[in-house]
Amino acid sequence: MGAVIFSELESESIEIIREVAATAINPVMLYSIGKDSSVMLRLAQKAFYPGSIPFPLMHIDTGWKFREMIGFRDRTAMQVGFKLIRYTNPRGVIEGIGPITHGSAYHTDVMKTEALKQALDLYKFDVAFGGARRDEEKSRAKERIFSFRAPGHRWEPKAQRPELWNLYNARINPGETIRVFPLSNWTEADIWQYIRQENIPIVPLYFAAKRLVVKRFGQWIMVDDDRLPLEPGETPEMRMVRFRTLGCYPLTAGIESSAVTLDEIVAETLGATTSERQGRVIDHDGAGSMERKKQEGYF
Amino acid sequence: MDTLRFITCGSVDDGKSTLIGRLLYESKLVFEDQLEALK
Repeated sequence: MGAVIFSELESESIEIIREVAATAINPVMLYSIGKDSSVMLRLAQKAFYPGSIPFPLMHIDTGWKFREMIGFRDRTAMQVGFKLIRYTNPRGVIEGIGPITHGSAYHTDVMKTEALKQALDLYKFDVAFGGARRDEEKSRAKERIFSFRAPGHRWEPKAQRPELWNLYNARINPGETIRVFPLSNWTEADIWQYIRQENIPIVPLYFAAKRLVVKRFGQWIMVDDDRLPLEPGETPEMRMVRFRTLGCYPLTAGIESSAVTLDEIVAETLGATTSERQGRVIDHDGAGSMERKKQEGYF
Repeated sequence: MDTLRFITCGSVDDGKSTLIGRLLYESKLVFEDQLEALK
């Protein structure tokens, strides 16, 4: 099993990436450093090989990513040789906005959603690739592959275009932009099996290791630097944990695991009974919170 | 494992999403926390 499905998924994604490169005026690939971004990057390399990737990759840096992610990002940009744009919302920096002082919802609004909109406007990107998958979250499940955004980057779920087979309509009306999701039809298990098959480099945080963590609301939060204030009664301890998904470290919980190889991660993923988004604090900010964030311009 | 492609056709409230949801559930493609969120 496997190989046939991957060649189908891979071909579909590469076709999508090439379609954008052929039709967009100024495309960009959103690079979040996670496993899905790593797969999307590999697909972009394959789409234009032996040429180089004909668009930049952009990381929206909230300032609260795991330190290992930033190191991995810079090494990867050097090794692969793509153009990397790093963008952080200057207002957030000036006002010192963070998830601990301002709450996860406001932090995400300012440092991710607002930052992304600022960056797209600043560089005048008309199309932005994102690594979102339909199996991640219910508001992502109903996304088109080519997702149109009204002026101001608003997502109108009911105003999306029909998408028949692999016929994509990339024609942009004045003021519109598109978010394109080449990994729409991949599942978490597909991603891991493809990473194993292709031996794609990923951030070491995905592999289990002894890490300094603290239990908060029943979940393991990593003490990645000295900015995480401890609540009364909290004592950091060393635990074997790994991360199924990576974001801002105070908002991303690890799971206890002994999986230190890709084979073990694949086995664990195939046997998982909970979704990877369970470790994402921001998904649980309120009913339909991802849909609201998407309407405001979040991925 | 082969890919199964299918579509559902029907009017509003005929049960398209309910049917797809049930197929996902029966094929063990719904995670516990997703099911819990729906309850």
